[in-house]
Amino acid sequence: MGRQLRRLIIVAIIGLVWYLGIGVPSLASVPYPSFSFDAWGQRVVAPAPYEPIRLIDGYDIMQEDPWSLTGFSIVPLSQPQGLAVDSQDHLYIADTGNNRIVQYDQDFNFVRTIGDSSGKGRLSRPRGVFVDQDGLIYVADTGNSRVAVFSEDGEFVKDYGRPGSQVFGSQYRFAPISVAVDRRGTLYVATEGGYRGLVQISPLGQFMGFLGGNKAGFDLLWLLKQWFFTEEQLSREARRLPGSPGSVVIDDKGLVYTATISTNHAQIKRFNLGGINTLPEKDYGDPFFRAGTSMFTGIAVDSQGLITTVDANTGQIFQYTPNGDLLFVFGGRGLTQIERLGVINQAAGIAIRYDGLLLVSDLRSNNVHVFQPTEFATLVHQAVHLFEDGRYSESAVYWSEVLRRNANYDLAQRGLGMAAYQNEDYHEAIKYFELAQDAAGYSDAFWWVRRAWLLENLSNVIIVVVIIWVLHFLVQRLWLGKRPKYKRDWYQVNRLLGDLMYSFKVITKPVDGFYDIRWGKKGSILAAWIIIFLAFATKIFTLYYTSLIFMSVDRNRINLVEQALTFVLPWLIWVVAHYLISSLKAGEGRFRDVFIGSAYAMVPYIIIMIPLTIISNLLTGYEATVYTFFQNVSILWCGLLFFIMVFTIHNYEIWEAIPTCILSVLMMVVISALGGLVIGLTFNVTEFATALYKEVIYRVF
Amino acid sequence: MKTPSYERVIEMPYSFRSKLWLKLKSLGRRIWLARTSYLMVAPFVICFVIFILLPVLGAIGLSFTFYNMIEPPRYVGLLNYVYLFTEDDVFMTHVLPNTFTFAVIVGPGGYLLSFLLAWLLAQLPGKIRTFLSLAWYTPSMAAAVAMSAIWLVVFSGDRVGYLNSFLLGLGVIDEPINWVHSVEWLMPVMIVVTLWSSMGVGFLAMMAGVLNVDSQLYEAAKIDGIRNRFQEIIYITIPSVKPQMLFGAVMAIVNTLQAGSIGVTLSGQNPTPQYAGQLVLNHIDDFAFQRYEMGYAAAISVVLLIIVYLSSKLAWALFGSRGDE
Repeated sequence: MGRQLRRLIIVAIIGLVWYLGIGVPSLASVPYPSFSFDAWGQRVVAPAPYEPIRLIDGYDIMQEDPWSLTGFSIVPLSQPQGLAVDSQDHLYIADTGNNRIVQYDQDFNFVRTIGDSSGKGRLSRPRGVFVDQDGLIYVADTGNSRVAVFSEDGEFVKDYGRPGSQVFGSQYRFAPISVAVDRRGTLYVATEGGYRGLVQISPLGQFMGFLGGNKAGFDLLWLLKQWFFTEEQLSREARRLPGSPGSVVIDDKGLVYTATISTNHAQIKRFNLGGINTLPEKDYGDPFFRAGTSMFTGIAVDSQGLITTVDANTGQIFQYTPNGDLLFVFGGRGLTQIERLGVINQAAGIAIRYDGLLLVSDLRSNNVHVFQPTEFATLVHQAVHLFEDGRYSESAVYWSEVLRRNANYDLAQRGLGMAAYQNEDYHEAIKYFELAQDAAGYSDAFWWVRRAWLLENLSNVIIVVVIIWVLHFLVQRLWLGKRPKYKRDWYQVNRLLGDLMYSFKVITKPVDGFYDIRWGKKGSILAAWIIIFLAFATKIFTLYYTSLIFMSVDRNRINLVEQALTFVLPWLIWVVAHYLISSLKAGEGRFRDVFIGSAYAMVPYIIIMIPLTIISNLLTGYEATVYTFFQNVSILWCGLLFFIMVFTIHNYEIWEAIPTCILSVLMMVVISALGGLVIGLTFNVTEFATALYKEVIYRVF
Repeated sequence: MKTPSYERVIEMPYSFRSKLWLKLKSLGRRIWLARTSYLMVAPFVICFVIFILLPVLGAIGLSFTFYNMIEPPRYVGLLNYVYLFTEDDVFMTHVLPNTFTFAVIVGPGGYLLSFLLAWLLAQLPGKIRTFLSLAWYTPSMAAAVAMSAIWLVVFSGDRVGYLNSFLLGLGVIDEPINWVHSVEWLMPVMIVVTLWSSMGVGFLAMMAGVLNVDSQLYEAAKIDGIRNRFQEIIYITIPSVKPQMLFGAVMAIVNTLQAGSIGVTLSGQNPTPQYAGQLVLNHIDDFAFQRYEMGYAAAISVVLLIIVYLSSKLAWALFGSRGDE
């Protein structure tokens, strides 16, 4: 007894120490939320990947000032935008408001400012900066429409002005906002409003072409306008121009990365030497948080190829793997105007140091925030690094460490799944892929499991099937052959059972079937309710037991009430709406007929989806067509039955039935809108009543 | 002449062996009695056995062997079948899904189109009907010629191809799509072209069926209260042309599952790009006549045969008359 107690106390103390020592500090100290996204694009809270460590505001910058008594004055940062880091981890800030570039060393001590007060080295509102491996400093000198080059010591060397090539065009603007230079000295310049893409300039200043222009995309409205508008009207329309890259950066391998603002699709791109985007063209960013389009103003790439970008719209910082999978999101714009370390008011540029420190410039607060990766982020980075190299089993160690800190991290589950897959432990892989809800990985792993099973058992299965088939054949032909086929009449067993079994007649011979519902006393309300309940149960069954490969919703977020509201309620509204419309349009069907008929029309869904759900667990992604085909068959079959029901039970001409169906659907919309209104108003009234009641109670007593 | 009553003989209480003997004896007698009928069917039966039954049985036999046309076949049991469903990645990941997609769209789609067109054409007066039905039937005969004359031009991969040019003009796409060589477009193109040429024998049979429906039936139905064309189709036309529809369905299934050359003709490559348009028949062709693995190819053919058989069963269940109706 005493020993047990002592053990308990020790465990409690260890737990307490662990809780205080490890669990808390990294979470509590950051002023912003951090997330990762799961396979369904839903947010999952994650430990902070980066914590803010210091702020650079430029109050240590002494500049020569002939008007000051000391000959120097303090000129802090003003509207800092582009950031760059050189090979010694020195930081360069494009200090737009002060027309200069500011250099800091690796310990964030001020080194020098770049940009002369007069002459060719004078900068005008520079927005971007880049340092190549030789230490040459390239400045996107926006105001002067050029790229200026400075030596390591800050001496002006040369500049690249507007390309004179015919191809470049005389109307096209050249106002560099960001620049990157590859090893051969080729400049990649992002220009303001540069919808044709990055401008490539050779080391000698010759125009080499545009790289990776965005696409305007297809717009039906625009097409119609082109057809119906006159020339004059068209010229008044705003031109449809593709988005322009706002920021460019280059990695050690010479791959060029761009971030595009004012779009929500394919915002970040990575171009190989052929000018082809090798990142998936999907929606980046956080759709739940932003208002309007995302504004990826800055992009940074580290030596492993991890892409970090910042959305000025929300102030969030996103980190992506080289494959474009999101690692984490953190940060966010401050809700108040109060300055706080780590809260970015208007993000502009971003850079990442070789030692992992992350730097983000804040245009409105006139400072640069420095973030340090936490232990969690470091683990994730190491895991991703090994993972991207294809060394899955080595990365597994890190992934499990990551999982210990954040059990909801899908990427880690996936990583462990890939490791198990690589080790040919497919059962284990399936388990992890299921946790990560990774359909593709699950499908691949399952393929191997199924294959192994087939390899072992297929011969036996074939033999058994052939034997059964032969026996069946013999029995049918030789023994039962002479007997008349006996068809059971379920109506004689039980009225309800008869009504339920009648549904098979309805779905195979709908015209006769629905006719007898209206005029032949077949079917009953109770049977209809049972069928609708079964259909709903089928829906729930499919939600829970369909193979992960074919799931379109997150199984962990299924809400029964919500499912009932989106499944049974529309059906009920249809019945009411259709009955109302049909009675106006001289339909002969009674409410009972519409109700029973609509229920019977759902039967194909039940009889197809239940077996299909079970079979889906034997299929892989390769056989997806099988699944979608039968799913579509069930939907089409139900739709056809609804249509046949409409003109059969109301004795319509087929051409009368179509407008009735359309009107019924419109009526459904009206009823749902009215219903919503009534519910909303009722809610308000009850709220008012309770408030009044409380008020009276409070005042009177 | 008095016919002997052999039924009575069988029912007599004899021992099992003598019963069997008597049964065989009576069977022989019955055959002899119907000898003229057997003579009449003999030419067909002999041809069927030699040219169809024996090859099929031979293929089934070969499917249990390893046979490369040089060495004599070596019995390997069910290994070919096991290999087909486990080791043959191309079959499981491309051929089977492709064939399924192709068959479920082209089969029912072509079939419905055939019936609809047959019915529509039957509504037209004589001369135009003959001309139009010929026009619709032509593609199924002249598919190969039409392929190069029309479809390869329409689906040409550069910007002057008809479809590309049209879509570029609309602004739907901004660079030409290489329709017949791209992995995602080859299959849709194959489906479109096959649907276009699917008005074959089944279509003709159905049209003959629709035309042969007794017009008195329609008149009688009108008097009985049929109100519109749809009811006419449901209650008169379809029941009357059921045999032709069954024939059409079986033809559609067989034709669809046996289509193979279309992907190769369109893309001009064998195998089709990344197996995007590889169907079962291509696969059989591949193993039989490129790799000379006859036993394995035979096993694939047997699987195809089983699939065709099961699909025909389904068609029978849907369209075959059940006696009581």
